[in-house]
Amino acid sequence: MGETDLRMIDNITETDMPRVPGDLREIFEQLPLGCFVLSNTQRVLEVNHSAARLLKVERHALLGRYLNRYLSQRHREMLQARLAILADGAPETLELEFLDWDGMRVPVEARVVRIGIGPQTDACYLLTAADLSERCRAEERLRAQQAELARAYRFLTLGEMARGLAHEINQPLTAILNYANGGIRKLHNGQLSSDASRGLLEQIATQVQRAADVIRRLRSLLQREPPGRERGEVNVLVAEAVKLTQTEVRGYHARIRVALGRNLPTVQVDQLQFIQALVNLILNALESMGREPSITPRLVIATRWDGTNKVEVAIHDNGPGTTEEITAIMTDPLFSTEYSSIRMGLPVTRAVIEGHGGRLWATPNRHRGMTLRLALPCAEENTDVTTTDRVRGG
Amino acid sequence: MSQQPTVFVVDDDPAVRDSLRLLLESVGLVAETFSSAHQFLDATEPEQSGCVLLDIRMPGMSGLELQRRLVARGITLPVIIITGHGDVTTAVQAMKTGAVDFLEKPFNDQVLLDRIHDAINRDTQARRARAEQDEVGRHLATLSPREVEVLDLIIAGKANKVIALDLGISEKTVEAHRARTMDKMQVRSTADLVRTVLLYRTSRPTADSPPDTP
Repeated sequence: MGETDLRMIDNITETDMPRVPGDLREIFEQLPLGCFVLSNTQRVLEVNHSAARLLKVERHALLGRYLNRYLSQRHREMLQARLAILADGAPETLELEFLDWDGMRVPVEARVVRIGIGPQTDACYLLTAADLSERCRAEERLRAQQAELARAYRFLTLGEMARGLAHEINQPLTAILNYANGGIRKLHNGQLSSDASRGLLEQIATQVQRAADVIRRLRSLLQREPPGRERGEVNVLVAEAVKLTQTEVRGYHARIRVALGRNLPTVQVDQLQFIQALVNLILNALESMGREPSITPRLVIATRWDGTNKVEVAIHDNGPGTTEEITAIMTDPLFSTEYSSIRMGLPVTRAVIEGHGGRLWATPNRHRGMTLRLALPCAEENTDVTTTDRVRGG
Repeated sequence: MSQQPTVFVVDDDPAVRDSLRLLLESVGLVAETFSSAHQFLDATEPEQSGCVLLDIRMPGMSGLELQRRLVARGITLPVIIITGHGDVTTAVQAMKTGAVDFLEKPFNDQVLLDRIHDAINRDTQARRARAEQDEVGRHLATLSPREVEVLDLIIAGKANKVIALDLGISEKTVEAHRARTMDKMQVRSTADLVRTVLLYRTSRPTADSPPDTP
């Protein structure tokens, strides 16, 4: 029915309208879009300059050839599948990647429409292609910038974590050195019984084990690179972040309490990134509390499940920071007037959490200080599990 | 006072504490260990001699705060600060608050022991000096008001004749006062007398001395 209407309109146009000067062919050539007229076997029946430019070939080199030559296997199939389902007159759009003469990928937004008219002719198609490489390049640049930012952030927090780990390793090393040196002296003075030396060696072994554990933790942290999302338990990640900030907590003479919620669903996270985000939030709270020397810094870290599809981590402090200030810092890295790598890392921390589909926000405490809260969506399969349970239960 | 100097180890890491005790005992030092600044403060008395080996990073009370409280309680033990790596700022602060030394973990045992011996020597000398001063103070307390007047004028460098004129007494009486003062102060010469008293007064500016300026 639509077809008949169109023809009627065509007829009217031809009789009443003044004719377009020159050849329609010229207009076709001048179109900024790459246009291909394809046979049903996808041979190029007609093509304009823009299309030839897109593929970096001469127009005549395309004519009569199969377009497949300029498509990868995957995109060949994508195009074929789309053409097969085309209804008369109804265009379809799809994103395709051409391979130009040099084999470089050319991403395009393609629109295909059937133009084969009449039952006696084989179906033909018009494929118009808008070059997306500029947009892709911009996206590529953005991705590179984000990766760079993430790298800088990782470096920054790794630096903080490395400091903590260095201190942690220093403790057992100090003990080992003392045990060994003390043992040597006692041995030299004939003060060391064989029982005492056994005890001493056991102590040394324990401390070596302690240092090795720190190194193992460091290694397992680093091995998670390159970043990838994996299933993780928020409580385990929080515990790791707390361990990593132990030295800083000691340095600030802060009291720390960790209240881990029970039966939390798992989350899908880049574990290293998430631990770094937590480390940064803890350091930020410490730094904020450290600005008021008259108080004993108290840090409470709590985790809980919100009952639906989010796991929450709350970091309470009793520092002088306000929610307005922290919100401003989180959105604008240059807001803070004093230089602090931790505070400058907050926007990235927020970006990391939001990148995980989560949210980071601040709320004031009833008495003093404030609470930074972050919510992460539960991993997909958690809900599957509940659904299955429900089905089974019902 | 006659008790042996003790090394007071304050560190919240049990292994570091225990190993330090072993190391110190291996060279015949007496060591007492504490897991927190509070525990140490509760247990110490000003009479105890020795030195403190203090980890500056501890939960509860900072090493710096502990130093301040020790001073407030009249405990003058020399404090050696132990720090983690690269804690220069804290170490500088510690030295400003009166720590005598600081060491970075992990430390060379000989260096540590040398520093500890230095600190103990320093403490012993300080205690001896204080004991001497206390004695001078006790001697000064036995002087009569008149003898103190004479003493002050002697210190001001005045001759017997001038002192006699100033105080309106005879030169002979001045000589008698001077002799008794030197006797009570247990010094043999005027130079000795002046030095001892001046040393005492400068070490204790609030002590029972009359204002020197007329």
